[in-house]
Amino acid sequence: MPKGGLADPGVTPQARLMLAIRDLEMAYGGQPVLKLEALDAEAGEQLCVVGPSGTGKTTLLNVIAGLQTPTRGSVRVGDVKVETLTERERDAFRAANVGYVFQGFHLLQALSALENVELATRFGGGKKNRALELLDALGVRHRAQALPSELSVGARQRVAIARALVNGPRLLLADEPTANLDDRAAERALAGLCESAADHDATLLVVTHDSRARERFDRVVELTPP
Amino acid sequence: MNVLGLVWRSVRLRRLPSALTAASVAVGVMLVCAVILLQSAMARHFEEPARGYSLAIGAPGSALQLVLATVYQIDKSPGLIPMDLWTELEADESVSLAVPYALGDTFRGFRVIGTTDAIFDAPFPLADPALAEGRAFSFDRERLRELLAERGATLDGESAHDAPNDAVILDPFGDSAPDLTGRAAGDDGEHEHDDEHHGDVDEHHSDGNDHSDAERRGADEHHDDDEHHDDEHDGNRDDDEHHDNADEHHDDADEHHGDEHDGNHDANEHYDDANEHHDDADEHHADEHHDDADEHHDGADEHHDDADEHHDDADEHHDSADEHHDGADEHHDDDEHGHHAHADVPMEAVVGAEVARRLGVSVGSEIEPTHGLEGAVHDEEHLWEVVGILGKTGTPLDQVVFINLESFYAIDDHEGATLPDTDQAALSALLVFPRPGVHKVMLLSRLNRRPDLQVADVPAEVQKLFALIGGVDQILLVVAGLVVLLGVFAILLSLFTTMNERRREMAILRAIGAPRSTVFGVITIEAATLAALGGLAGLVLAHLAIALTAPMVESLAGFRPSPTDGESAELAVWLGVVVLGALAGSLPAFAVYRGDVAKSLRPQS
Repeated sequence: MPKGGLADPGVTPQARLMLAIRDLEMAYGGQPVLKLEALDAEAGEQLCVVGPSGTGKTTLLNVIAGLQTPTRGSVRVGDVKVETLTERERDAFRAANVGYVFQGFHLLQALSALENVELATRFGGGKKNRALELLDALGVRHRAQALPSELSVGARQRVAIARALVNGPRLLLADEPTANLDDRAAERALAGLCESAADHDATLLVVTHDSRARERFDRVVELTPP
Repeated sequence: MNVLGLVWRSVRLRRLPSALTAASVAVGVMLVCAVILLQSAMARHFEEPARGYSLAIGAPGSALQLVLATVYQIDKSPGLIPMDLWTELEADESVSLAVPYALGDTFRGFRVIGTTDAIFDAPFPLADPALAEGRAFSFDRERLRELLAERGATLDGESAHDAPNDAVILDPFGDSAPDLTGRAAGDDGEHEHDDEHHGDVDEHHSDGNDHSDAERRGADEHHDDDEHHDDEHDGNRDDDEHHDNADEHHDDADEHHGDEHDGNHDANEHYDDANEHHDDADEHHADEHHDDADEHHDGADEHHDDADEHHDDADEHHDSADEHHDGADEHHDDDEHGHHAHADVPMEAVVGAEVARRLGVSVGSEIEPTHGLEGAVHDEEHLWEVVGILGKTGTPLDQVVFINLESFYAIDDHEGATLPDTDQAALSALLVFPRPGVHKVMLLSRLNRRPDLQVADVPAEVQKLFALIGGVDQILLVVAGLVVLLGVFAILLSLFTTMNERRREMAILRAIGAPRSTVFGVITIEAATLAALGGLAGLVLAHLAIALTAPMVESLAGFRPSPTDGESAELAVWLGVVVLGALAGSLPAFAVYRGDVAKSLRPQS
């Protein structure tokens, strides 16, 4: 159900709504860490969520990806209400529909760049040969057999982007993609993300506290401390 | 990439800790498997030689000693048993095969066994075919009977003649232990002998339960009538009477036999055999009459304080007997009772495969056994011709020299192979192979009632022996098992020490869509893989250790374990270790399974 549950964004205006968040609240031990009244994103839209540390930016992405269950509120991706899915369904939903580029990239150190990308196809149903195409498109094909520890930060980010895109997700999430990067590298990283999302017709949601990212996105949403 | 691929990559990523963890498992498995291999080699060493045997009969004493002596060829026999038991059991309907053993000689460290050609018959556990080269030795029962008669002994309980003057040789085989009476070889047993002569003859022969059954038989044969009991100390008179009897036998052989058995025994078929023998050969009559006379001299000797007087009588009688018999038997002309082998007896031997291999003995070789396990040389040189080489059995039979039984008794050192205080021919042991079914139980029940014998159930004794030794093995096995558990614990420890790292890895897997079951499986399978690899290395190391230590084990324990032998128990140990490893892995796997993915993915500070 989750894999095929997304609406075709080109059919109706409502169907073009890829992400709809309402009255979202996340709390740990009664202490709220995230509050968001509403957030919508259309298919193919590129959004930037900004806010100082501690406003729940990463938590927001985890809730959208189904890695965390909100204390309150709803998250709809396409026509799938994520909070209603069972854990197994969320795993399948995430694998097929959500690409997630983590802060620090979280590549498996035991696997090569190519294997890291290929591994995602095992759970998301993507084609295995697509992994090399993506690495090629992102300019790191020549490093396909290198281990993550042997790659530069930029190359690692591109591998992480390739992994996030390999199953053809409708929603691409990125957590602090410019953290620890200098201006030039940050620019390249953002450019790579945005171009990749556009190329794959994916909705892009980037959370960052980096003000340099603001200009590149269609819309910027600011989170405030709860 | 599947789960196994992920596991393998994870193991490779942590090469050193993985190798050390597997090595700790390997050490435990190596120890366990080495103990198993040693155990099985030891079991084979003890059990295989006994395969095919059923009952061993010997003198009262240790049943284990009897089995060790007759099956494993590594100990002295407990003593002597009457030879007529052999003929008795041969005719027993419960017995398929009865094989007599006369032990006592060795040939360059290998045991020499006097026996019959029954060893070449099934079910005696020789190889198939029994002979690798040459032929079986010849065995002639009649020749044995004659020879024993000449020596003053009887084969099957017929009335005996006098033994030679020194015929009460109680340990003719050199390796027999003292009998239950506690009398060492060479004791004259004078007091017991008095009792024997006063015993109730009829009762003794009817129930066969008297402790001195065999001894009494000899006594019975000496004393055909009450007159002997009344005046048993009158040695001269006794001699005279028997001498007269001897003359009468010459006149009428049949009458002699009638006298001989009168009121005497259970009249079994052995006596019929003896009678037939007398009918067929007059010369044998002559010999036996002569022996009879000698025998009575001995009886007189034992009951007289004045030995010189007796010997005078005996010599005189001996001469007299010679005159009667026209020198039919040259051995009787020899005052010293012969110091050479019987000229008519073929001295033939078949040797075990190992004897042939190690000593370079071949068909046609001549061998000279020495007396006793210590290897004292015989009084005279006696050479046996090797006529056959036995096929290899892989048992102690490969290390035995078999000679025809009559040749064993033909040489001087063995001539007095009689039971203590009797003229009854003796054997060291009998190996009995009962017919299938209840016959073994019946035989055991019957023979166990005889106090002059002991019957060892060979498989049962071997089991007892192995149970005794097995206890030590079990302790070793438990210790080795603990080392395996330590190895498994090392897996657990290794996984827990890398838990933070693994939590992150598993969270990444979850984040890209891997279900919890995959995460659980990756960790559990990795633990099982380390256990499997360690176990495999342990198996290989165990066999290597066995290969390296085999010579040392052989010199210490007497058996050589084979590094190429595999045991199903090893596979069971390996599988057990894999399962334990997986169980050990399941603990951290469960911790990760239940873990918070988002928390594990937080950037590390």
